[in-house]
Amino acid sequence: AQAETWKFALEEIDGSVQDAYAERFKELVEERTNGEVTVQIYPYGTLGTSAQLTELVANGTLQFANASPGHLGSLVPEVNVFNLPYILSQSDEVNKKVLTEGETVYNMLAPKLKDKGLHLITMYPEGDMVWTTNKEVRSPEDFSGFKMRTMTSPILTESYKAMGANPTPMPYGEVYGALQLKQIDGQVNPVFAIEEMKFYEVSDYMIWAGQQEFTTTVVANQTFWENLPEDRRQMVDEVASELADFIFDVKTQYAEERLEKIKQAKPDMPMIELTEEERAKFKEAAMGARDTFIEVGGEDAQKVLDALTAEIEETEKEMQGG
Amino acid sequence: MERRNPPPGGRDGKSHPVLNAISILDTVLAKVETFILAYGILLMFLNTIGNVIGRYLFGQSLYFSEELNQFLIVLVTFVGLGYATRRGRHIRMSAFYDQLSDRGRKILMIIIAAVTGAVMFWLSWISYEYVASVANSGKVTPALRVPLYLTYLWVPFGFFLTGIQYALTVLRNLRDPDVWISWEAVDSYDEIDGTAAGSGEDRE
Amino acid sequence: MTAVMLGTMIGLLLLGFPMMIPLIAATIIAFVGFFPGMPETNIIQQMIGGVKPTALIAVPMFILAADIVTKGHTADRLLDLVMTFVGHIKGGLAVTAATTCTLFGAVSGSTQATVVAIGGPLRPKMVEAGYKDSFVMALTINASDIAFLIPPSIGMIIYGVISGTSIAELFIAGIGPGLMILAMFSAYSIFFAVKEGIPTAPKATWGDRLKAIKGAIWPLGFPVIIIGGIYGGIFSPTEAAAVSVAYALILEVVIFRSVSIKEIPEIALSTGLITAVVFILVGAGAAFSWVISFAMIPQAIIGSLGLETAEPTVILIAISIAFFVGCMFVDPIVVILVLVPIFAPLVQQAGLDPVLVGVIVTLQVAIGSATPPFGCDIFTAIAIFRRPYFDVIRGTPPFIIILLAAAVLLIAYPQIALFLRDLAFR
Ligand code: NA
Ligand code: NA
Repeated sequence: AQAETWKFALEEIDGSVQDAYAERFKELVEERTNGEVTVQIYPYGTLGTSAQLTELVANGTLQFANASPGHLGSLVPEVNVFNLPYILSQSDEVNKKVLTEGETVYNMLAPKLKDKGLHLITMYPEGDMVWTTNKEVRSPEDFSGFKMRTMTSPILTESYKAMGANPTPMPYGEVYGALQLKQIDGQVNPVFAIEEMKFYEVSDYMIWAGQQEFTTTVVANQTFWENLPEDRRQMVDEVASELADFIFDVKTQYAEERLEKIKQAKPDMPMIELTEEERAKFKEAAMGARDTFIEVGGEDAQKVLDALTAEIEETEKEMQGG
Repeated sequence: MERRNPPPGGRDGKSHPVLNAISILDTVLAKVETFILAYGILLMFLNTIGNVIGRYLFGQSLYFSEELNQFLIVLVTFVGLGYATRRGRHIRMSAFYDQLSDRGRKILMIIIAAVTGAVMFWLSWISYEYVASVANSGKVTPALRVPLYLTYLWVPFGFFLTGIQYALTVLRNLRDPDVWISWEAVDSYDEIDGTAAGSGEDRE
Repeated sequence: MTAVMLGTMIGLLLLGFPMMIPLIAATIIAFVGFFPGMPETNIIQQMIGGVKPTALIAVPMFILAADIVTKGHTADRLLDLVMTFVGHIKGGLAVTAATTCTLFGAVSGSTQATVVAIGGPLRPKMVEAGYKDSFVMALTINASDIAFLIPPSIGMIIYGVISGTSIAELFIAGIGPGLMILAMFSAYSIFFAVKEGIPTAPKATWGDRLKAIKGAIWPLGFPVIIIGGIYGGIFSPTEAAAVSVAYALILEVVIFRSVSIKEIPEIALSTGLITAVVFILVGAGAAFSWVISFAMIPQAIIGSLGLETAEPTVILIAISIAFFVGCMFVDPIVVILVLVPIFAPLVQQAGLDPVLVGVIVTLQVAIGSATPPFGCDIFTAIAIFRRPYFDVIRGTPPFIIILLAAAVLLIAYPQIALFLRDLAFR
């Protein structure tokens, strides 16, 4: 076989969880193809926005890319299910199973992506989405009149509305200044992003409400995938399943390391882990967003939602039982 | 909005039915472009200020504000592309060109207009392909849930009209004396080069 | 391939093609030469994506606000105000010109709009007062740089969008260098007036001053809205732009009655035209920078210059030179679109503050646009003042030297830019 290059674009910058995944993917693929394949990684900002990257994979310009549900949702609305609060389990083991080999993801969502020219390689979480706020938020009532910066996704916006907040979309680059100037009262992101962008400097509290993990998918171009020799496809699948454990460790390790950095930089920062009862209230309030999802989540929204929640419940039982 | 309208069919007054028709169609198009540009900008202003007012007076942002602005900026850019061509207002570096004789400038202008026009027609074609692929993907805008491709229709349209403007420029230069920077504007020294300024005035 | 791209770009540029064509042609060459078979529709994806970021809406809005006040009385009133206070000192009129450019800079986001609004009315007065015409024209085109640094600034908005830097922070960081240049130009103006023995104007009475204050009190609201609004966290830059338009309308239509409602669509048309001319370049620039990123050309260029391991100061100097030289030949918007992505990996790697880099870039493109051979401010001045090329550029060297000194100071003491930013945002 002749030398070829696989282009892999990230929606995060160097040093992120996605970067760790892609670097390891590159290493393994190059090793196992004896250097016949070179993987070229493009970090965020070099080739365009997430929505553009998805298009570039679909049209074959790129072979691989990360695509998070927030953006993939405009193409396959059912994927928006992962933007709903309190959808995933609180257990990493359960989520690992559901995301990397689950029925819903690979039998219901993957075919829909295939219709759009995208082959789903894997899906993995990147860590808890943590609130950084200027006040203590322990109940939906505390969110009243609270301007919360979220990504621009209608489901996310609806979710925060349902939980009582006033969702305020704004470009990522402006969030730090907006927190400092009290234009917004809080924002939500994984710990590594909070450390990287120094959001903790301009927030008074960090709050874990267990509402969401940031998840992402790795997709490949469908035609590229189909034309790949059988052994290569098998090799990629093997690499992907090996990386499932790897990336769960990375995300946990990154979250811990970055949290440690934050603690060192701002030792008196209150870090609040909401109790089960407190979380239950947010969870109940957030249920309203599921109606919105069913409305705008495409024809199979209800089916996907039911299947996913059932699968997670079952897996939780299995794991507790076993 | 005063414009120099060329006499139909050329300066020498010789009338030609096809050129007449082109001129009439062109005048109508110019009116449409003018309307879209002016009211597109004003709507952009009303939309943005409306969002500010909504946020401060009613505690509510307009949920469609961002999408409407994105639609308008694509509209203004690509319809404006044709209009700017019509008015001969694209930014260009004319230092070398200015040194040439009238005849040299005319020849160079014909080459520039022909090549630019061809590129515009090609861009029109590939943007048609792109818009068709977006239509196929079934993407909708997040807030208003309008099919995304509808907001991009102006792109192939704008490139096409611009291509026609450049084709007309070639025609004008071949037919009439003087050097024409567009179908309707003679290339002259004292016109402000429409750079990134926004001087607010057309000095013609 | 990179050489073919570059050669084609420069060739088409010199021949006088509209500037979008060199960018698009280089992009097409890269598609055909590097990546045959890659869908050309990617060019369109990137062009649309380039103009779509909502933060860019600030550009047409600030142009519209400037267009409205340029039609109206704002510039004249600001001029009168400054004149009654500093007109009588040595070099008073020159100091007035620089100061008015600074104040007008709080409405205007571009250097050329400022040359038009301030240079137009002031030049006859200054020539009459005994200043050499070459000095007057050089002062005007260079003092317009101050307006580019004082918020709003179209250059900063575009830099902010393509580099992902906070536009609000860039705006605040431009104030310090803007005021520093004002001080340097004023000092030079006084020196020049003393050396040339230019007679001073009579001192204005307090009655005149009071009248001028009354006349200019409303226009002084623009900096309050933009700087105060951003400092206070009341508006985003885009919102501040829309509020500026509303304020300009109230000012010129309602209070001064210098613009009639009927003229508004015509002004908006002119704004729309300029917007399209700028944004098609933004779109073409986005396609160009996409393809060079895809081909990893920035890394190759930086590698071949040996800059990968350079000191931050060396990198800042390299950036300054690249942008300055670029703008001597090409429009600032194009230079920003082409060069920012090339230097982006380097800036990130060196851990440079993107806001500082943004201010330095803004200053350099402003200086470059008043620098021969082809700085675009020079051509604006030729058109407005109706003077030949060599008359317009004759007086520029001292000003360019002062501006380059300002650039050196800024690199040596970044706090000139970052002080106010840190006060507001850190
Ligand atoms: Na300004
Ligand atoms: Na200038």
